[in-house]
Amino acid sequence: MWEVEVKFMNSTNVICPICDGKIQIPGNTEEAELITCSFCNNKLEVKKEKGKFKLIEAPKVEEDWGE
Amino acid sequence: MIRGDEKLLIEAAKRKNVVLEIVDVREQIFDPTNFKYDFDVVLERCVSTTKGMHTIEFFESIGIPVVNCLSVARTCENKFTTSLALIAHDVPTPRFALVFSEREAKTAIERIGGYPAVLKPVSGSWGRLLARINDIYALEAMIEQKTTLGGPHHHAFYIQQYIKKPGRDIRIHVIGGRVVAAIYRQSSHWVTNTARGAEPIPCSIDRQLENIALRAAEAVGGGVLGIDIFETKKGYLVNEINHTMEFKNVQRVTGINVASAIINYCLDISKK
Repeated sequence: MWEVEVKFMNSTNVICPICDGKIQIPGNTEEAELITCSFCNNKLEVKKEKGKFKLIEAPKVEEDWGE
Repeated sequence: MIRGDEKLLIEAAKRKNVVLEIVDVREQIFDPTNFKYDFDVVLERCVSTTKGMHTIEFFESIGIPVVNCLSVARTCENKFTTSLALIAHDVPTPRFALVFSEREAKTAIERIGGYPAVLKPVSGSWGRLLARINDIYALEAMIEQKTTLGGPHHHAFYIQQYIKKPGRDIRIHVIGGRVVAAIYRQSSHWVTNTARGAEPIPCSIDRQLENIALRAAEAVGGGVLGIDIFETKKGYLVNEINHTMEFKNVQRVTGINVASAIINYCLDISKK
């Protein structure tokens, strides 16, 4: 419970580039992390620009992706 | 890119106070004469096999050990190479053949057990681009499509004996020569990848399963491996081996900290 509270106390609001939805990302989010927009369900990638998080559309799956 | 699996690895590393540097290969210039680094071992987690293979090659060339190493990655990323390694080490595996023409494909299928057979690209993942060839007409159509529409790598036709599965297959993780965890991947479809909707459920590991998994891992050179195994009336058969294995489903349903086992293995490699 405590860990979850800490994560969200440090959370950041970012805007989905596809649907403009306001998404709260936890404080332990990493740059290049993949998330899913809770509004439009599109896959997004977290980027950092000048110390601030922003979201871009995640790269499309390519044929050589996998394990 | 950091997916659920990489998140688990980051958390496991932090808990062990391992200093972690996340390197996005998309932002790197792999020039061996001018590459600055400050780490002891690389854990390769590229979702792109192409990027991953080149990354492994680069870091090994400048003397940094990589998990998994290049020889293991090369063996596992190509299904034909994997099958050859398994056969060379007497690890039970479905019958297979590689051909480059329709005529030879027809002969190969007759030899390995007839129809249905499975046609796969030599490199691929997540259960994509697999074809169950039910008869000669389907074979002709698939070969024509691959030859016409696919790039050169689709002109190598890897044919595998079709194994009727009991509605599931097994994914078992071997790390550093030890079996760590296993799941059944349950599906009514013949393709049982979780990426294709198969449901992961815990799998208990009997001695025979452990034995074949360890032998399969050894056959390809060891390391951090996700091994796909079929159950048959005559025993287990190793289907494929994955070298940049995904494990978040295994960790979730079994409760076994696979991420921690991977980090421990990397630490062991760094000390060698």
